[in-house]
Amino acid sequence: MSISNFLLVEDDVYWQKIISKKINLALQEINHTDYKIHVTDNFNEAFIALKESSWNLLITDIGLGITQQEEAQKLGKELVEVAHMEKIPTIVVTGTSHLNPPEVRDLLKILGAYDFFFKENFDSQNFIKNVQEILQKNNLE
Amino acid sequence: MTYINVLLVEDDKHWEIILQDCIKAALDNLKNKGFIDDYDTNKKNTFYDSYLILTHKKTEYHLLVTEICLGNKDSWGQRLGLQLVENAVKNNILAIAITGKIDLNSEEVRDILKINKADDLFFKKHFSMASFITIVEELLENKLQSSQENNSSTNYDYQLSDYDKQYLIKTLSSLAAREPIGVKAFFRNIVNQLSLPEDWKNDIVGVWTGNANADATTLINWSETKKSYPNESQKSGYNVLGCIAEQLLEKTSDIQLLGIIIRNQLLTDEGKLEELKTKYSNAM
Repeated sequence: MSISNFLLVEDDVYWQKIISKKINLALQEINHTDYKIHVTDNFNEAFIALKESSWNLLITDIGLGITQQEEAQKLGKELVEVAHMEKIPTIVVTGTSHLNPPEVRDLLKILGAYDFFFKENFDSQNFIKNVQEILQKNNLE
Repeated sequence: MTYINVLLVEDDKHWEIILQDCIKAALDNLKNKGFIDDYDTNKKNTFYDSYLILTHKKTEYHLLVTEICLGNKDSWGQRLGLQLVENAVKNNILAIAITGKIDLNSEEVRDILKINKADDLFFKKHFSMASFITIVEELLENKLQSSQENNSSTNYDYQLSDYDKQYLIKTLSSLAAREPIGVKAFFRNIVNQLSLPEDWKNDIVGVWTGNANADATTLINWSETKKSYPNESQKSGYNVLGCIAEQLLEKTSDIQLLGIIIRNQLLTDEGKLEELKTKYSNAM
């Protein structure tokens, strides 16, 4: 199995730790040891990384930024779209306040997100399952 | 011949008209592009009627479009339309959910698409006819293309179109109804002439009811499950449905049956196929 590269875009330090830990768990369960998780808390760096490097999976928040104004721009959606164009599978992990129901539909059906999770009731088992599924699909292709 | 059946489940008269119009536009586009030959939209306005249709599978449906909250206000919370979506998905029917009576929250939307596995979801509040038409067209186009790819990649694993299947059933049924020796004897004779392996014959011994249409449906459905004869059998390389279609062609000289055989590659013996084409060429 080749090295897998994960890009985690999350501006909350606690959630950076939670998600990284779940990715580690997901990979341990399938005995996948060769991987790197690149964590960034800002949109610009993530945008460039998506364009310039090769990724097996993008995991991103939607409301990125420090101020409320920045968060309201929902920049994570742009990252999902870029990833979709670059054929990189994406999992969204966000707060419910960032996405209304039609936006959820558009993320999954138009922007091509693989799945998304709300932080308020984060289903870690399902998240782990998703990561494993995506990796297994990557390996088949 | 590709015939598309759509089941539209909507209990609001205005939305029934809107959705039916959009479905018609999408299917007309597919027809103009040559993807389909014809279509039919069956409209229902209750959960019960629609559920029976999907469960009994008398007609092969390709697309379900359903409101999520069916019935009176007291039952909206039950989201009965989602039961239809699940039923459709289980049976490999495309499913589009529509919602307007209640405000779904973001988590419910995610679950409808990821857990119930609806192929798409539309909100009446933000409904765009153009985008609905595009999605219906895209979904059906993709489904038809993948089904054609499957047909061409597996030699004998054909998928008979609903139209061709109904045509075979209708032909069998009308011959059986006119048979002086009776319907049951007619079907026994047909089966005898198929030279089936013994264990296959046992499958359909005593299944004949005497109802021409029901027995014709049983025989065609059963033949579809069997596909081609096993290697060690007398007719190795042939498929059962092809042998039935060939019998019907000989009995009726109906050129449409030859079309069904050719279209679905039901006869794998090229020599035999050429013989049939020559024999019925005058009628073509």
